[in-house]
Amino acid sequence: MGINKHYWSAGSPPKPLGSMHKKSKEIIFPPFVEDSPLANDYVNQELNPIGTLYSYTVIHPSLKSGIPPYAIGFVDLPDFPVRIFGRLIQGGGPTIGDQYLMKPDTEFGHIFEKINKP
Amino acid sequence: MNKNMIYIEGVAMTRFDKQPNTLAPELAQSAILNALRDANLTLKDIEAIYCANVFGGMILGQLIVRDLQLQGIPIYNVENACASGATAVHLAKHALLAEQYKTILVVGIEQLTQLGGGTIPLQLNDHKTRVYSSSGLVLPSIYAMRATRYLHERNEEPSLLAQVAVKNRFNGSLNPYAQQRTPTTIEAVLSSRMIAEPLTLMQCCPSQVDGAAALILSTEHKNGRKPVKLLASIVQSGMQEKHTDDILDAEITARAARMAYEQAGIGPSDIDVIELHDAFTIAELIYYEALGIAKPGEGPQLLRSGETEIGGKIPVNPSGGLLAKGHPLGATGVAQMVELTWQLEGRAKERQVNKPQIALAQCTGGGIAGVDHAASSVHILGI
Repeated sequence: MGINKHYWSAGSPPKPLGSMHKKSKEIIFPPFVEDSPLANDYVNQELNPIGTLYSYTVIHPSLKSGIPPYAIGFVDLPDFPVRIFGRLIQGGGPTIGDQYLMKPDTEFGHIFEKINKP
Repeated sequence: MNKNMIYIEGVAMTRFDKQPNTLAPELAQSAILNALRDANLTLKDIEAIYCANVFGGMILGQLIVRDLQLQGIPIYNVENACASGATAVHLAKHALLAEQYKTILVVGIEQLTQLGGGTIPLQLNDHKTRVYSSSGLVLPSIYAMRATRYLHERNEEPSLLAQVAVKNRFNGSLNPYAQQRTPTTIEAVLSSRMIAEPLTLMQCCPSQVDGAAALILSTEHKNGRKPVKLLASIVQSGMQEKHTDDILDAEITARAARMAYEQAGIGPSDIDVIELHDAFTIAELIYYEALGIAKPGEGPQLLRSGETEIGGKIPVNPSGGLLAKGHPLGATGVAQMVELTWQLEGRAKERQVNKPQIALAQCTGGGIAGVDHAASSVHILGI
């Protein structure tokens, strides 16, 4: 599975896309698909991929599933503000307020990669 | 008799438990027939049936009553996720107020053991839910992220959450209709298997449970007991979430509660007993404030004060709640009102609270990506 072009820009590196309402400027994520009857009221908007962790959890699947624990959370992206849910990876345990970079991912569609503080 | 008044004439429920070898008709008919006996009515007195269910498939209501010889009366099947039962009561209220019927049976039923265990599956009918589900979104994760934020903002420890489970498990130990009948301790709750941090297994309502509940609503009071009245019935839907939303404010439930208080002409301080939607421990703490029984930020103090225990000023979930009684989705909203009717009539036995006059039932429904909850209902009952 490649990058979901539905919500990633064609640039390099690709940036996440949202739908911005033409009047209210509110951002919707993921963006509306082209054939949505609401699409005419919105324009695609590239989003700042670096945001702040609002909250999170670590899911512990049952042992018989064989799936290891994984972290997920809500990240607030600035500039054209929107809160997006996704996988949190790298950098040890998450903490509210951590900075994350939203990147495309072939398995999950997108992931949030922790940005190590200098 | 006030023709705009709606009375709860009879109530009944099955024990909530794993009943994998019982089919839906037998499970629901048990609740239906006992509710009729409780109301001193017969099947011939019922003019319409509202059947609440989520995962049982189409025309479940008709299957349930086929062999009851009801002569083709209208049967409405209602689905609104975990708020299905409460929504069915709400719709029945409208029909009664519109004078379409005088007496209606509402039945809620769910057989979650048929799903085989695990979390309740998300419906992938929209792009947002599909995108989020592929990232690992499951229902407990929404509550878990609330719990994480709650502990962070309130500077609290996970033992606070566990205290909710301890209270409701104790209440469940007194309730013969509850699935979980063993009291527990904070240590046991915290050491049970981690599900979604910070929520452990005993902080999540059991996912393997079957059950049915039924009640009879009527504009005529005939059961010979002191009348239990439906003073308010509100169902609201969630609104699209914004980036500025506070996931701790349970906006939809606070809104539904405000509307219910206004409809009943009362305020939070008038409520004597509550059954609320404690699908996970964090939910009860958040709903204390959404329902207005605690001021903003004072939910933890209310819990610690002991006032939400059965002997307290405002007992919450004397039945054991969803955490101990169990949460067969379509039955839950109806079962909450069954419990509150028993409480108002003084029939709750070991778990009876002290002479309640006004009771509140709160039930939320569904998780869909991008809204607080899909539905929230608040009902107020009085005697």
